[in-house]
Amino acid sequence: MSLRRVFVANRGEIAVRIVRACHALGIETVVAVSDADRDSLAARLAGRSVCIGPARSSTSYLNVDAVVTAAVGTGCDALHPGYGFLAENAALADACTEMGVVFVGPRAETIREMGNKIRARELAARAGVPIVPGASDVADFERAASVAKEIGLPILLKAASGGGGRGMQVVRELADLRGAFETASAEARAAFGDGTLYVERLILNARHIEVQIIADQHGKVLHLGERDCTLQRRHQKIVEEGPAALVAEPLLKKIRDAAVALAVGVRYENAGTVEFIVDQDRNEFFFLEVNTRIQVEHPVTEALTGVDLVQEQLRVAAGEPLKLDQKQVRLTGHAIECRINAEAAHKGFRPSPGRITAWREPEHDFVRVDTHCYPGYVVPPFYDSMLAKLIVVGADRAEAVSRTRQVLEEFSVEGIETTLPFLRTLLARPEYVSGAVNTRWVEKVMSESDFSNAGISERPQVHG
Amino acid sequence: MSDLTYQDVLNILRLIDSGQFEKFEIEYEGTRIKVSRRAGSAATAASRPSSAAPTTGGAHGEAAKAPAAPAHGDGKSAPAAAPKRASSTSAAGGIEIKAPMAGTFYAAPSPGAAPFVETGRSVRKGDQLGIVEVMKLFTAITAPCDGVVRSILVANEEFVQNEQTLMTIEAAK
Repeated sequence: MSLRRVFVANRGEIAVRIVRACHALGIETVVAVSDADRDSLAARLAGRSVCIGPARSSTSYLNVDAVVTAAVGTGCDALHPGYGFLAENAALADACTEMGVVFVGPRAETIREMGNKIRARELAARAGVPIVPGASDVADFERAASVAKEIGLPILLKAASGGGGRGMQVVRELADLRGAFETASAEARAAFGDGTLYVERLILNARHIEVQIIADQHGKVLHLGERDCTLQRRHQKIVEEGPAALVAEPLLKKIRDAAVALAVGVRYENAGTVEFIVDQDRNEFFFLEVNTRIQVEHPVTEALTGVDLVQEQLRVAAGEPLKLDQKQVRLTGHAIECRINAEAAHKGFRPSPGRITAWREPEHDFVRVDTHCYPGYVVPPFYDSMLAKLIVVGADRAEAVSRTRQVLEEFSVEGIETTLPFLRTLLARPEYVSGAVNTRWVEKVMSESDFSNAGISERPQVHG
Repeated sequence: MSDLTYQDVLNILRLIDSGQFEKFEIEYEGTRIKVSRRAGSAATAASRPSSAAPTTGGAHGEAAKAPAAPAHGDGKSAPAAAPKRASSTSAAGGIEIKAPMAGTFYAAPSPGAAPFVETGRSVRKGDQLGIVEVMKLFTAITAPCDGVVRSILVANEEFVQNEQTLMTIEAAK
């Protein structure tokens, strides 16, 4: 079968991206909009738009019934969920299947399995993929000591039942283990009624490496190389690049093979990303999680491989076999993506919604900008703060870095505050240029620069 | 099914909105739309009654005194700001609790949960009173002093402006 009309169940730049991919394949589009997005760029580009609810995403973009009903009611034969919102919600995939609408993504079962972190870890281990050394059954000090000796220090102690960072303890010296164990165990018992601890190796000097996977419904699984997303702030990626030029090739090959082995093991379909943590001190890698959707940073891979990932998603969702072979997948040059958000970095990354009075993006043949913004657009306060993705390519990393620094200067947005000044500061640092960074580096830079959290201290929390 | 498109419906709604009439009827290829409105029904949102916060489930006692992780929003995780205190003393002597930024006010830690506070409830300094969320940044609103909640001026999930008074607290003597 081939798809005739696709329902885009998302907003912002990814809705624009999906609409354009559909049109390139001759597929009609219907875009879901909330009350706040009626005049969005995606709504104007799409064949049609349908209002699925009020501005609050809980009553619109997160409403499975509204989304599926609108898709069926507008005669769509497929639904693309984008990223965020319902993209990794197995109930949406189930509802689509029930209504005879093709869900552009993995099977609901895969979404469910990978969404459960413990189950995902089990399946990774079963596929021979290394997982962070640790144990989940540490109920007394003797066991804690033997686990610590086995996996080596430093280690992290946390409550085996429950999460949210309650009772978390870092142990760097064996002498501190008893005190840390007793504190963590007591806190775990107080918070969750169970003093059993989860102990795992703490990787301090880490890089975040992820492998792009695409698989068809006929058992063919390909990797499209990897991305390095080490620049993060509170687990939010800021800059992504590829290939992982700063990780040794023999290790990279193992990482790519591990991603494919896991995807084959769970009979993965469509696009996905297998995330890993690389211990730069020990030259080892471990499985983190699988993202069962197209990712924000997919253009990095597109720039390197020449593959249009969203178009491939639509083709394999329609049942077409992948035409590409693994041998044909080549990573050419180097690509860097910067996320430009409506946030005032110097005010603790305070969100800055409002009207964009001027929007000037750099134009070069080595630059791609994915965005839903334009001069006069009002950034609504209801959704996430990403305005645009700036993707820059070069023949090698050095050229890509210097070009990115150049075009960040050329990019200008007025009327609202953006993270452009922050990105300029970050990419001007010698550690970024040389690659001597880890996943904690961005916060270190912030503590040393003007971008310290002026007056606002934040702590991570888990929502919805 | 008629060929009435979504854009047509939007245009019809705009037509209705722009007119002064009380009744509107349109028939198009078998689809009939009837709209009637009573005078004064427009602009109700602006004049919401005070203390409109949900008060059901009020008998559940100590509702989330510690700053709990709110379960609102659409992200898997999002940063949350630590308690911000913005308050001033009103003419009537109560302390006005103000929104630190424009955003959505949440009266409870998660949908369906009991609200953080209700009118008449005693609070201690630092107790959480609500949450203001903008673009997935969740900011806890906390009590600047011990006292009693005298009034709650905004509804759950209402969009509030920067510096808008959310509630008033009568400080303990």
